[in-house]
Amino acid sequence: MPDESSGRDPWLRFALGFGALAIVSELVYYGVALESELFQHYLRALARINGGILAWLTPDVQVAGKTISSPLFSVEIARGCDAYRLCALLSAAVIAFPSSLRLKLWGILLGLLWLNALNFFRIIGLFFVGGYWHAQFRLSHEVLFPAFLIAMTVVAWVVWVRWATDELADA
Amino acid sequence: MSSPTPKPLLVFAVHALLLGALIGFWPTPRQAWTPLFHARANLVFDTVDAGRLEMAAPPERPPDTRLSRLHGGRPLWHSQFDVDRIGWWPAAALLALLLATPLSALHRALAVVAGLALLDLFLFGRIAVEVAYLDFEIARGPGRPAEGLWHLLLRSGSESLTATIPSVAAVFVCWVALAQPRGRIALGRTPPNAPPRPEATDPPPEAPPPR
Repeated sequence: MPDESSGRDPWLRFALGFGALAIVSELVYYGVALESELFQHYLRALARINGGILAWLTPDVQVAGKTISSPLFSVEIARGCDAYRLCALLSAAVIAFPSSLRLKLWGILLGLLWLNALNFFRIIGLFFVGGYWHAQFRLSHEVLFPAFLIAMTVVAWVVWVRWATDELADA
Repeated sequence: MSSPTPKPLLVFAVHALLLGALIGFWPTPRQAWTPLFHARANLVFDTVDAGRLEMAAPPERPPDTRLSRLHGGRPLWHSQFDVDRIGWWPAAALLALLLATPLSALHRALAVVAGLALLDLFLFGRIAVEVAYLDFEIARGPGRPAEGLWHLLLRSGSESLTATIPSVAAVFVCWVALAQPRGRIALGRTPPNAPPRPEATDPPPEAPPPR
């Protein structure tokens, strides 16, 4: 942490701040966001964007509401297919870390772009896994892709922390 | 006595991710973990709730766990979820973090024991919220509106029973509290000739006795 020499452990402060923000983000997700019309619009938009990308890669892709279908495979963009919680996890880690407001805003902005891009990759990847290696779909959906996305969230945070720490050291 | 220079954050992260994958997918402890958790949970339920809650493997898997509230031998409700997801993976992640952190052997061993106990406690807390929510819903009865902060909190807790973020937050807080990474992990650039860091947990060398 930038102020490692201060009396109170900044790691512990960071961990508690991160934990509290992560829990609040979960309450917002399950208590408010999931029920909202805005969230349903977001899921439909995700389906349209992913359907648009898939149309370049495989023929006869149709999007109806939150469902993407083709002769190869069909997926429904349901809750959990969104990037909200990964973005919330990264944002909580960035906000809780002691740094300047400018660096935090850059970290959140670039992190959200990165995680949303990876989420498109996940949905498209699952579509093809379902189409070509259906026996592996459940493992990919429940373990491999979530683990990959969490690892990528950690990587994004580590890269940002190195950048933020070096910038503060140079200042 | 001195320890090596602080481990660079990137090296630590890669080390922890690799260890997490190796431990997480290790089949023998992974397969044993869920039945062991069921046994521990039933022991706790027998102690605090006199056998009215029961945890077992469901007839069809996945998921790997069925929690039932019994009343007069009949089940009032069932809840099914994956203990592998909310118990085994967080434990594997915490083990990986503790193994990747430069710690003395004793500190690491104590941190592993305390960390697994804390994660168990956290998991029992999440399951207790699920039990409270389902009991609340049964007591409320069908068709009657449920409103208020208490219901919202219980419902959010129940719906997020198998969510990943609470597990990640719990693992991280446990790791920081137990491994005390301050000074052990270098967050930014490490100077090329940084002096070794004195081990904070070791006592200072004793001065020779006065003659």
